[in-house]
Amino acid sequence: MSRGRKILVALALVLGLAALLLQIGRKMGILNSEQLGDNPTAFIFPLQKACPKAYTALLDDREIDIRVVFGYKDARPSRFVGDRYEKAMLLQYLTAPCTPGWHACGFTRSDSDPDQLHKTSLTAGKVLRDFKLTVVNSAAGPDDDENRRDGFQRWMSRRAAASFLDGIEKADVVFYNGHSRDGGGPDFAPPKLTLDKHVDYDWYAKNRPGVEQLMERLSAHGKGVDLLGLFSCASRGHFLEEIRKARPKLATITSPRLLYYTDALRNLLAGLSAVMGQACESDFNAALRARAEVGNSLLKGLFP
Amino acid sequence: MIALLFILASWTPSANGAVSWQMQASKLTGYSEAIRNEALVALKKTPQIQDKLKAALTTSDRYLALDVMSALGLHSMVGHLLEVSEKGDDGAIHLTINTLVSGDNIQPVLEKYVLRLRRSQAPAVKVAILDYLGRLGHRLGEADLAALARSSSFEVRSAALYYARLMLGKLRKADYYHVFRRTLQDAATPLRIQTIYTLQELPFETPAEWKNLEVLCSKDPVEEVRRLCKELRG
Repeated sequence: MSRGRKILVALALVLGLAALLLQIGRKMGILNSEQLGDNPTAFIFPLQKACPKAYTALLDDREIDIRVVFGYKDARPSRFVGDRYEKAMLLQYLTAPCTPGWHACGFTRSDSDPDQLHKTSLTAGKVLRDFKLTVVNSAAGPDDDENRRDGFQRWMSRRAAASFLDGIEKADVVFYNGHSRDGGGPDFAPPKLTLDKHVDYDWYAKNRPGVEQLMERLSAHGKGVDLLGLFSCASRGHFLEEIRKARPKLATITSPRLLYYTDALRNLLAGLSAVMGQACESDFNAALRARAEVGNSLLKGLFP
Repeated sequence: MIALLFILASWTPSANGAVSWQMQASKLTGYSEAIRNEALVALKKTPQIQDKLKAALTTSDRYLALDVMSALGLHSMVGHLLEVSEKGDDGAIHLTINTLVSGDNIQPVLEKYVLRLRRSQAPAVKVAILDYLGRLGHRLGEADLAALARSSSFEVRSAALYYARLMLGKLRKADYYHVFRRTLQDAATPLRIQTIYTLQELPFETPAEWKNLEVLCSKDPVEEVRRLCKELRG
């Protein structure tokens, strides 16, 4: 047997063994360590290395204002609305103790407004920063029919929209996790429906209420947001071009395809951890795609 | 040759099938109704789908598996889900149980749920349970609900109030006075605001004693709460 053939056989043997071990590992639950339940490590992707230079502008203030706003996550034509639950799930992770390389954790909540979270930590550049994190959702309850009759729903929608839009003007990082409404989002209120109780996508595509408000704020003078993450279905195609026209240098995280709800949540958490840990570009991207079951998110513009 | 055998040995039908059901499951949300229906048909035809879904509950595919259970209406899974969620849940399993409970298996679920509300559970679990009991109109005693309204979790306190809103809408009579009294004095401003909206929309005349609640909120330290309270007083 020639030397080249020997190398090929050895390589095939190694690959075969690796495949077999992977399979055994999966079956035994060794390599698939995402045993969930109360284990707050399910969405964690530890970062390996920090690149503080890329974050100089983003983290230049003593207080870092980060907004995570859940849009109104209805499941029309079904009546179920899920953002209240997703927010509760997210908060479990944000308030859990930290582990090495994971930064979206260890937050404490304010008593007077539990949607305000706080954490003081040293950045990779050894500078002390106060991370002020706002996490709000849009739905008053889990039933869209019921929400439409609830005055508190209007208050919730107003507050969520205000937190998002004010964040575009004033915050350092804004993450939206919700529906794209076929380009008419972001949306924080019960959707416009057709007679058969489906979302009226034609209306949203024609009127584009959410994105118009977003563009208005992006074009406003002032500091403006440094990183905008839109964790919603096909947000890249729906929104990115207009966003970059309004603010060419704005760093963005968008999704090229439909985004399953747990992927949106995982990518959001990974993005948050990456910012707070000042992740290098490869780590940031890897984190955004790390746990994607059926969708991923793409970072653009943060690294030169 | 040996390597090929290794690869073939590791390429088991279950691994192959798992990919297939995951892909179908991902089409259950966000796609057109036609695509969703095609996915449902494919999922129904998947061999040993129930076993695969059960196995997936301890992996990263658990959310997809739970979606499939709901979409296929696998009522027979309720017992297993109740058992699995005993060990811990972030709310997702309980939400799935809520979609699968039917007349036959409702009683054991209700009993477990009431017990779980009294025990230490993740806030998201308690929220899912309270929402379900409220939707069903299953009455919790005032002491139980008042305890939940004092929970250290804001989400649980808010869900307790939401439960009271649903129940009073169904019962159409005054109840849970002490729960409202508690939430109107909560440290969290959004909870006090939620309470005022709830009181504003009660579908019945409130007893004279309930006027005390209006007095309480009229003295609130936050201007927005006082303003809303004024509307409550009419």
